[in-house]
Amino acid sequence: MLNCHDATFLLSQRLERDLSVTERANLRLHVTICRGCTNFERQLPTLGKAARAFASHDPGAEDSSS
Amino acid sequence: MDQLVSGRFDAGGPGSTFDEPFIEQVRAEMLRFARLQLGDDAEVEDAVQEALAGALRNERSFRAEAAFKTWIIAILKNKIADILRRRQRHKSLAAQGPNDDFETGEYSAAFDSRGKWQEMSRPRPWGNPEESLHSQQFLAIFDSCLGCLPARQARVFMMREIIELEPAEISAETGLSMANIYVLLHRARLGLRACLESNWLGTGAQTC
Repeated sequence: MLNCHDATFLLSQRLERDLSVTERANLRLHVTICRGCTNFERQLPTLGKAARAFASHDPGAEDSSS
Repeated sequence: MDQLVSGRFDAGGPGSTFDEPFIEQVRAEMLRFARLQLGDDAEVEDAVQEALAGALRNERSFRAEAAFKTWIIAILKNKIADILRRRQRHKSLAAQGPNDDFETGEYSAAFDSRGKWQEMSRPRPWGNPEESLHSQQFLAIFDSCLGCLPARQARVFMMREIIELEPAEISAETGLSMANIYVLLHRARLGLRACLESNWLGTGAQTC
């Protein structure tokens, strides 16, 4: 059984490489029962979007959202 | 079209589409973006100047400022990638300083000794934050959170998520092994996530 450190490490690596079948199965098993890692998994795509928003933000669009 | 804009300040030549304050703002943002990748360096100003000049030569293709900016960032990304490749020949990121990103302990501080989330560090639901990604407040927080990361983590994270380099390219350009890149990206994401959660979603008052 994976712990949270190992599960988040796999979730992070999944953005860079294909996980093996075993890794995917172990990951699913852990994330299904772990709320913290479920939240981490959902937040990962937001981090990337945030970074790109930060790099290329359009000042004209800021006023409308605040 | 040209006579409509001829009264505006001449930023990029006669009949310039964009006015000078806008160009200055773009330049400032490009400098900030490039410095994140390259550090504060003479090369940064040159890269920004070249990207801006190249983009202004074709500015009439862009009616909207947003489209112009997207394009200019794309040019700048290529220039940054070129500079990083050139630097690689002189020195490798792996050779800089001690390996302080790779802690001696087994797990980073977010986890206990058995690798479980510490109570304080367990990720909480973010709801639907994507609407505020472009708000001034969020961008300021993201900026400071990125600054809180160890330099090497921040740089590898930016290479991956903003320059959108493949891990193998990051490895070639930094001299770091793939395994180390995976570790640095994991650490960076954990650190950034925790910082954003505490500062942006208001669950805590600490800066980093």
